[in-house]
Amino acid sequence: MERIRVESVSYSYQNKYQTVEAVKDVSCSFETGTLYAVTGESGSGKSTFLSLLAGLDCPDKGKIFVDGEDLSVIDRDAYRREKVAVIYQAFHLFPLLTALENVRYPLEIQGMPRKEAGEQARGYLCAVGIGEEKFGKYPRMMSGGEQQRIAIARAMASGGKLLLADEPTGNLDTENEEKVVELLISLAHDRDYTVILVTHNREIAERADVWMVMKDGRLTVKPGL
Amino acid sequence: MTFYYSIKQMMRSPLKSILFFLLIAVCAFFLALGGAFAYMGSDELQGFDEKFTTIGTVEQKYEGTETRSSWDPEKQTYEYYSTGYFGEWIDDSELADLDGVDYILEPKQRPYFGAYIEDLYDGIGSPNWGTVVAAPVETGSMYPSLLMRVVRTIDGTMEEGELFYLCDHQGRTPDVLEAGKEYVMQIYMANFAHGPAVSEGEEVMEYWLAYGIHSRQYTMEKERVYDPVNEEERYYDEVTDGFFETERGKRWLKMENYQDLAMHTIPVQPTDGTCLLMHFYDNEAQITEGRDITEKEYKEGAKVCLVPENLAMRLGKELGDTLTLPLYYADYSRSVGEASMLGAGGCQLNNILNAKGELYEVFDEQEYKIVGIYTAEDKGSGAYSAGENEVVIPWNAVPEDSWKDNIVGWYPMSGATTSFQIPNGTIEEFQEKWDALGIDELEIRFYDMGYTQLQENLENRRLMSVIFLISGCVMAVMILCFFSSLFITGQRERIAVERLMGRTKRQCAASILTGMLLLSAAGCAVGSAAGWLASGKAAQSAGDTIEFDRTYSDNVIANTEPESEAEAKQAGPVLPCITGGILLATSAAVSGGYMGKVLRKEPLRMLGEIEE
Repeated sequence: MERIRVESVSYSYQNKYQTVEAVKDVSCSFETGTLYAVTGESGSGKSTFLSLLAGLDCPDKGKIFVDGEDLSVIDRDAYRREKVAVIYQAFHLFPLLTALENVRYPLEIQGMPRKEAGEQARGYLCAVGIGEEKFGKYPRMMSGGEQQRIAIARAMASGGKLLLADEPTGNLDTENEEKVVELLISLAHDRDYTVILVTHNREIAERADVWMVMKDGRLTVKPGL
Repeated sequence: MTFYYSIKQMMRSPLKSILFFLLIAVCAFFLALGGAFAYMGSDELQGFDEKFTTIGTVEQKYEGTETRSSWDPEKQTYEYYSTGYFGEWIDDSELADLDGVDYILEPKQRPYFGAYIEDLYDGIGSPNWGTVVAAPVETGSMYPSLLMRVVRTIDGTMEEGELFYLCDHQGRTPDVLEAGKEYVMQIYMANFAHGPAVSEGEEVMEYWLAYGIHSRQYTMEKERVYDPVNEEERYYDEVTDGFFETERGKRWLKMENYQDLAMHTIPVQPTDGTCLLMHFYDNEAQITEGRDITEKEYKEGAKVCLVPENLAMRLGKELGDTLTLPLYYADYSRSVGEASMLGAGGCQLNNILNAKGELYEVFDEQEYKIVGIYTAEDKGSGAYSAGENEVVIPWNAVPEDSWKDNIVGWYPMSGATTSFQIPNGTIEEFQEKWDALGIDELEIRFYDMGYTQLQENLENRRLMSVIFLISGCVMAVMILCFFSSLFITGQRERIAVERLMGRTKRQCAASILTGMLLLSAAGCAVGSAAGWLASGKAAQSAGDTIEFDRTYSDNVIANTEPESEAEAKQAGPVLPCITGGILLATSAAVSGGYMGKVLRKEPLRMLGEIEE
């Protein structure tokens, strides 16, 4: 089932020196229960594309539809709160909140009572393999893999079924990288998430259901998968 | 939730939070203290403004000096002495027209008026003065004492046939009065009689010649009114047949009114403000009952007056009673203190006839309500002291220049007759403008009871408070910038993630700023309260006794008695609330500015920058 449809989307922005055409006439669609890998060189427009999908920027041209709704006309704050979650290479957990609080936070943003949010957060943490003994620990006290798994748990807690992952394994060792990729695949396949994974890692890309390549702002599906 | 996490974040970085709280509290302390000092300074200055009065006196200086001589008949030689002389008499309008000077009360050369009060005296007169027709017992010169016999009394208490000694101590060649001839003269008791005519061991007084029928009338233009009868300076006349039918003779007959006028005349001082009269300014005269004449009454020329206690008692008057003042002459030649010396009994009249040889007629008669009774004492201030029986009335109560035909004398402006009031603290400014005018013939003296010195002290204190305020402000801005950077720019990651989680910009701002502003508010409250308490302590210690001296501002110390005390008043709690509120608002503005700057950035790009 189609979750996102991108129609002839272009986007440019102005940096200090020039106008950068980051995304050029991209059209594609993303299905539910599928893991997408997007690769490309630095500056090819991957992160900008992700930003457009996250509803943080509006395309200059074209449209993005999420569950059939035009992203440019809906409340994008609500969209981010309810439908999409983002995970990052540097985890970006709240350093002054414990693991449990980090996961509980998006639930509370959605208006869930603290107690109930705490129970759900525990469930998400367990689902990503974080033991109960680490719930009260601060991110700096945990390994990179654990932090990224907490980040995924937090993304899950946000409730949306669209997960955008920007180089989520970039800071991880092989063992943790494997765990995170497995987790993402599992989210897509077992929990019906649409996972769009931006990565430089070919091996990870090969494990995705669809491998897309971004080059000079244009997105193409890598054939042969 | 926003509040909970915001506070939680603050509590999990306690060192930073405590430091921020303390520094904000210190800033609030400085601001409250500085604000309180500034308030106290201006409040005190305002208080002093009400208590203090700055007046200036004007005196025309001698243009030069000259040597004069006087005959000493005892030593049979001239005595030489040096005395000053005036150039052209300067009008008070020279000062009144001074450009750019903001007078409260303009300079005016004040006359005093003579008022005839019927009930003042009911005695038979004084033996000290008299106008008589007398004949010498033997022919002789008027020096040394010449024994005379009264032939006829025109004025005074001497009786016909009474003997008295007459003496002329002025002229080098005293006139010879011939036995068998009669002479009319006004005499006054002056000295012990002396010479061969006086029996050894006899201690009797001799009389000297007074001005008699001489007129000293002036116009408003300060010009002497021509008196054809008195072209020759002669103080007595020989009485021949028909003499009293002549012009001079008629005038001598009018001298019968002299004692009556002298005994019933009180000096009335018109002024634009009680403070302009030095005896009141210096507290030599103090209102003991009732009140002062108000500014409005002065301005409107209300028919009110201040009377001395002695006069009120003599006339049986009390507060609220009215006193009718028939004014019949104006004297510009002397101050009221010189013309009617305290304790001397009454007004000294120099002359009672105008240039036409007539008695001065009443030029204004009105009823004045007694609003204040004062007592005056003689502290040796001479011309500046109060006058005996001096009644003070508003200048504007008497129709302007209604006394133009009743001016009995004129003299250049003196400190005791010409004064003005200027706003406190403007002496220097006035002096500069005056100096620029280049009128060297006038000397101006300022009296401000030491206000200038106090003002300087208060200005210093105000400067200190401004320094406190500026320090507080600068510190506050620096601290706010630093901590905003720490709490907000340092929380870019959190802001970006929260944005990505779908929180609105406003929610993100609230989430970050709530804790910071709460700490800021607590710091402001504690610091402001501490500042207020400290200012209270400071006010207490500063206000215990602020003593100041009564001092001429032009560095001439007139009197160093402590004048009064003033208490420094603590600023109310509103002021620290205001300074604290301003600090809190600044805190919100600065942190809001930082927040806005951070929120303007696109979250993913911000995270990218952080990762880099």
